[in-house]
Amino acid sequence: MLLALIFLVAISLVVVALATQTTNNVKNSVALKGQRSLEFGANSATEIAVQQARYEYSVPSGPNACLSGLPVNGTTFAVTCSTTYNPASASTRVVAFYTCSSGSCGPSNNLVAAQVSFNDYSAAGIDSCSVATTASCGTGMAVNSWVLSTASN
Amino acid sequence: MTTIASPVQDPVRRRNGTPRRGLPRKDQNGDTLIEILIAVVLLSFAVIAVVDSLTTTVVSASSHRTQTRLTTLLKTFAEQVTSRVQVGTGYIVCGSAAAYNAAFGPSPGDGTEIPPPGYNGYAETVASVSYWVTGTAYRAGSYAPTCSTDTGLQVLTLSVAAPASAGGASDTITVIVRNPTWTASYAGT
Repeated sequence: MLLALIFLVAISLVVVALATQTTNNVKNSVALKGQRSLEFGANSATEIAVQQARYEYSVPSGPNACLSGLPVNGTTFAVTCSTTYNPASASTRVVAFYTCSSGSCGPSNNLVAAQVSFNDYSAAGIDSCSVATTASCGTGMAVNSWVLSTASN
Repeated sequence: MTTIASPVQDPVRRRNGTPRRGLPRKDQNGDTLIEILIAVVLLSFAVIAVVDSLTTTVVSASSHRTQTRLTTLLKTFAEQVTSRVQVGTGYIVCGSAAAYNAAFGPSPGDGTEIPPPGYNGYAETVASVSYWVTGTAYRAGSYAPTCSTDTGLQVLTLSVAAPASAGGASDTITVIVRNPTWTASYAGT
């Protein structure tokens, strides 16, 4: 009787180990897939924010909401922008973008942190990017940095 | 004359108590049929459990292998698409899914694409394209299935599919691409 119980316990341990391994595999697959979707979603939301910021006059400001409630790959994203204005410079506007999926986006809470410089001068050297006109807004653009940090979020 | 009855002789033991050679011991009773049947049933349960677990593990491992390959391929494809767009050679103004599929070349396996060898039979396609539409509120954008005016943003749905021999599973992801060379301004903003 004792040997039979030992045998059954040993078999149970083997079965539990196999089941645990299978469960872990499933969890890992789902987690990797979710992480991939989150990364591309966050990058996509940031791309939209960059495109929108490029061709509009953005008042120099601290953090403000550029984009909110954008669903991509099953996650809703928001983007916060912070603009620094540099008149008489090819980097007329330097905008920091912070993308997150929850809470308030900022330097310490983001999935993507990007810094982009926009040149608001036309080929003729005229800055026609203001509240009144957006004619030369974003004639040039340079991505200074683009940091994806989904692993920490 | 009285007869003294001799003590009952144990057939399996000598008078001094030691077991007789060649005869069974008194405590060596055999197992009953019921006990054997119970043991067989218990063993059967154990064997069935182990075999079933192994089968499940093998099947799920195969499925996970396909899923992992799909995940890898899809991420590679998405990176390929976004990279080409970012360097200015991949964005097609008002491009349809067919146009993108033609531009991004044949399926992997022929040596001309980024996906590594060993992906024969796997197919990667741009399943659909939506076009970003800006509203009068400027930031209130939305997607449209047809393109009237390209605003420099497109929503690409990328799909990869495993061959039938690998289960025929598929996976999709959405990426939004921005035309880096787009020069038009939003009207009325």
